[in-house]
Amino acid sequence: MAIGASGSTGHSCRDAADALFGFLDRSLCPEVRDEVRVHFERCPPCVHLLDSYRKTISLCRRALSAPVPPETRGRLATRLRQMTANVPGSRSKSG
Amino acid sequence: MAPTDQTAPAATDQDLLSVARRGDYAAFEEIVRRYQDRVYRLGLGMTSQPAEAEEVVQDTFLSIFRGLASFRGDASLSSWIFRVAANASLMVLRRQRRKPHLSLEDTRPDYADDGGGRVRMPGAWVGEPDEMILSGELKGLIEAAITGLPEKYRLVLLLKDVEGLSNDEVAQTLGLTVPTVKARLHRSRLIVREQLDDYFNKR
Repeated sequence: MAIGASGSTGHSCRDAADALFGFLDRSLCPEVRDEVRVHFERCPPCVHLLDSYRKTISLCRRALSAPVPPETRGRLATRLRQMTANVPGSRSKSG
Repeated sequence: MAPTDQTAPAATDQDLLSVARRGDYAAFEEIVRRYQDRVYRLGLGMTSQPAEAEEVVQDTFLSIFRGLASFRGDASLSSWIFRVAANASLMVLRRQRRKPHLSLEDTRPDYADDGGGRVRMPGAWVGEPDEMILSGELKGLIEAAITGLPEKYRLVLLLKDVEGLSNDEVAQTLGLTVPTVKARLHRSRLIVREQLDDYFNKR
């Protein structure tokens, strides 16, 4: 894939968008990575794309980082004890 | 029962698995404690309903308990648990059967209509993610965007971006190739990003 250095052609922006994953994942070959970097340096909208893509990853992690609510935790432990006690071939429980 | 030395928090997954396979329920409970938050998050991300996420946790660990004796150990405990949890989530969703999915037809960024094919200049995503205020509205939007992804894309994004598994681990857990994981992840992120971009543009 060739990335235009000017950042002025649609093809370049599309290629930069397609290369985003590999750029952040550091899996692009050095030549392509350099081309993508040059494109990003010269193309503010693509810089935004890169920045917002990175932030999306972090925001997803934060938005879904809730632990099990304590009351749910207790209910689950009780239910699992009851259910596992009825599993055929279940061994003697020590707890 | 008080945890034995074998079930102390410092025990490795492999240690716990070995002890649990010998019938030590405390070791199994330690496995549950260690993974239930992550399984719950996956279930919640997949179903978007706390009651169903709870069902996912319950189904997952009941399956793990039932499978302890026959588990061959050819995958890590975490891969096994996430694989079972992914299947449990899909089973719950089958029962739930709902919600149209977003189209994956166009997951590219929004290009400007000036013939140049440039990415449209966006609204502001001010600040670093850790500093951005995660309002109830924004949190809800992110959850809805993730819930709107097709199931197989959603699973990849949740395992990678929320649970922090590596691409290889996601591939092993879901029985996919690494390139497939990367492709699904990229498209998922672009879809969620697009919706967040709309949100920030309207502010």
